[in-house]
Amino acid sequence: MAAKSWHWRIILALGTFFTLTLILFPVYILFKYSFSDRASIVTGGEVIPWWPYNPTLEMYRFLFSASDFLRANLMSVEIALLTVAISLILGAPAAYALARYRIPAKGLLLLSLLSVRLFPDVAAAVPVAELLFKLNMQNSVLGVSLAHTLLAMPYVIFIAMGVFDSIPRDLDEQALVLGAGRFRIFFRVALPLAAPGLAAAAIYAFLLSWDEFIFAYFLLFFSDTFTLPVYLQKILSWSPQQNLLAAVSVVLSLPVILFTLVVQRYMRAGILSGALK
Amino acid sequence: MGRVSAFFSKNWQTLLFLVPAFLYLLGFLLIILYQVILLSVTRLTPAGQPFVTLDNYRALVLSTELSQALVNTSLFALVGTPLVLAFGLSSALLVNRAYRGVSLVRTAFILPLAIPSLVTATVLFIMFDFPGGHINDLLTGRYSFSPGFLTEPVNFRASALTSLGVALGGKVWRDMPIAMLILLSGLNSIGRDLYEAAAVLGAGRLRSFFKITLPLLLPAISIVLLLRAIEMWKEFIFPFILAARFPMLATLIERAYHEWNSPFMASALSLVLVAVTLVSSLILYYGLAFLRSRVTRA
Amino acid sequence: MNQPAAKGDKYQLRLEGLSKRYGSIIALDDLSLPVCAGEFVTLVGPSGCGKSTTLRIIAGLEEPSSGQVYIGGKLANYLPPGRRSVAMVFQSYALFPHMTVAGNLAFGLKIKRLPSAETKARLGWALKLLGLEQMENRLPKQLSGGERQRVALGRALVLHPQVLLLDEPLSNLDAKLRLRMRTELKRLHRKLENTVVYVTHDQLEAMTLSDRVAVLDQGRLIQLGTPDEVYSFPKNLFVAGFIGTYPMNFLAARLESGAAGPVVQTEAFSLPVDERFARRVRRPDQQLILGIRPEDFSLAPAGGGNLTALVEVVEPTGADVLITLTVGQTTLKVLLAAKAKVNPGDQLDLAVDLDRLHLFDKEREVNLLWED
Repeated sequence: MAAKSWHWRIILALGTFFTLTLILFPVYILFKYSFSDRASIVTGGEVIPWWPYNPTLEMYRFLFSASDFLRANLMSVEIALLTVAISLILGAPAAYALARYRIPAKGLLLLSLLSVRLFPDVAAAVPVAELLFKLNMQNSVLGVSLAHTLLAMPYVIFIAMGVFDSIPRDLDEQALVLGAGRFRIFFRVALPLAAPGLAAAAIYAFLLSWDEFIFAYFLLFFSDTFTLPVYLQKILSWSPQQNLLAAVSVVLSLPVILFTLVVQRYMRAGILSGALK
Repeated sequence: MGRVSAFFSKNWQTLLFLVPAFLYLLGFLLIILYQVILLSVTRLTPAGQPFVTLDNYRALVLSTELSQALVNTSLFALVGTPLVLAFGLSSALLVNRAYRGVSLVRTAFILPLAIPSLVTATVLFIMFDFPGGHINDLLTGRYSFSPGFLTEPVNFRASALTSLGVALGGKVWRDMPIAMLILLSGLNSIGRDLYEAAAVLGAGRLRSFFKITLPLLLPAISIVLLLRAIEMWKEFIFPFILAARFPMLATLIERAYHEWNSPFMASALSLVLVAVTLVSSLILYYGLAFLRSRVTRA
Repeated sequence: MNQPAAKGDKYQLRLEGLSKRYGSIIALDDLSLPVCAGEFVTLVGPSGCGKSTTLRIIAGLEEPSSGQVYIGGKLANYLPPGRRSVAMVFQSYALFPHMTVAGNLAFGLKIKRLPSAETKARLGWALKLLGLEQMENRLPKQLSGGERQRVALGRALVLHPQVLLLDEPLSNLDAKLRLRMRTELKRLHRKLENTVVYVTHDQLEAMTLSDRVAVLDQGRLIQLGTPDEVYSFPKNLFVAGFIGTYPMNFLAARLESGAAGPVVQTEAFSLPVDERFARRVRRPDQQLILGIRPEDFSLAPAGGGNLTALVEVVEPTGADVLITLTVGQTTLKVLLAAKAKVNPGDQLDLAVDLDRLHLFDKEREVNLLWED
């Protein structure tokens, strides 16, 4: 038994090491390239070094003085904030009602949320683009936000339902007996107590919009300003210096990496209800 | 009618909470469906007048792009889904143990989820560069520690197999953590006492894995397969960045819209994608249900 | 004992034929309960007996499947909870965690839009009444269990409700605090003379606090009466067993006629009884259950008691001592004053207080002596 378990330990340790390498290697490449100097990339036939010859922040310095990059960031933030606002304002009350009230076709409603989330976004991109074109809303911040809200709201509702479920029902009933109406209970009792959890939902919606590519690409195809992911794809198609690509990628990824680790706990609930991407 | 109005007057507040969100979601979805169906049966006369026709579909059936895209996408889904499951399951088993630092390893394993797909695709684009990328340098043995497998660097972007293969690798890498998390929660729900009972009965690790873990994990595995398969069918970003020349259903929509300049063909393709995803999901769902009923009976 | 329900405003709260069904489960079955103004009525029973459901129906948190709730003489069935002029203290206290003590107390007043001077006056009154003057600006998490309880009570009292509903308010407190709060509740009630409906599963709380006790079992109101009535004249086996600190002794028995009149014959001993018993028993072979409370036994001089028993276990409780004895195959529990020196193995002569016997029909479980 002891000898056997010794074998297993080595197998498991090797497996962990191998998986870690597989996962961390691309992440390492991402960061390494972002501060590589030109000589470490364009090597003229030499091997690419594992560590840049002269690490430099040149690309970041360049980016943060480039107006089109800054404009892309600004637009991404605008769209993401608008998405958060719409999906929370519409989604939080719905989540509260689903968590609290007796609703006849609740299962059906939840199923419809799932079906919205499972609908292929690429297949929706063309009709949405054509629709916004007809409404004269092509290339607009609002148009992209409306599309992103479609993606984000099911998650916001799922996460917020869990948050409201965790608040004792007694508090609602007590407020009811004290004479509070449903709106007062929602705004004065449930919402303040749900705020930390709803913040997680907001972060999730923000990140979803921040790194969303497909709708942004289709809806801003003819636009002069675009979101950061579209900016990255645009410079990618000009086959530019790889360290520039990597630097843009890092700027795009950093908020996602940081916040994903923060809201992991809440996301897990979303994953388990089959809600997460 | 009285009962209907009574229902509304009694429940108007609940409705006020619920209706905006669901009106938005379902209304939007219905409009999208209406638009895509309408566009897919529309063509323009030379004078620019729209008319209803099935020509878009006729053209698609005859086109080589659609058949290529169908083959490519099917292969992508058929290979990718089991790979995600295998990668996710092995990772879940690796971190479903107690040792020092396991939570750090678990966090590291979740990392791909925190990297936008577009960024992952970009990194793969850089890594698989030709002729002088890290992967080519590794394969040709130019680093002191790596043995050479090839004498010439490979242009990964040149062939459908290699470029779609790289895209598939990226997709599997990025989706692994979700599969892992679902499977981990499944593993957590299997009681430790079952393993102890099996160990007492003399079952080795492999036997208890195949006789206990796998059957009890079947619900979680079904969820992983079902949800990940849908993601595979509709995958756009990885093939678009890494293998745009070789059509998949999703990237073909983009090509039809922007290159062929035809929202009509693009919409017809979108509907084909929806239909294929739906049909394959139903087949998978009933297949898995059948499999589960067989396993529980045995 | 069920008074005919009077019309008009005689009762502050009147429940009429309340029933509540969840699918095929009957939580509450045709409950009628009139409560006078200023009365303290306790609903008591084991969990699942329907007492909490009753309270929630009075509060308006649940709709009855049938039956009416009258508050202050007016039909309240269709009023929302906030318009019923009832206040409720939850078992969990349900204090709003993000509001201070003052904020919690003022929550209901603000909704009623009272003039601010009035709100202030009532706040001060409640803080003083409950000894919370120093805590006004604290958050619930900064309070002890007893203080939270008082805030919950105060939040209900500031509204001057017509009916105050208390749902197991003492059950989250430790034993010592519970005793203190019990006294406190009683003092408050005497002072404010408000109408209270109190729910508990603890019969001792029910007995000590209430003007009247309503004993519920499986959704039915079994008996309604003063604490003394339900203790001395339990209507059936359930009430007899549920009320009382020490469970009543139940012995299989038959009524026989002895030389000097009727006799209740158990397996181990017989007791002479008066003609009342004979009148209540219909058939000579009727199967009966004799009930004797442990506290209705007393020591008798040797040979002068109703029975002689062997002491098995002695459990002193301070003032009293609980003794387990056997007579033949029968086991009895007896409560005696602690000064009676009793040891295991002793033979005791015991007298039974024959005026406090209970006689139940075995089949119908009703108390034959107090049957209507």
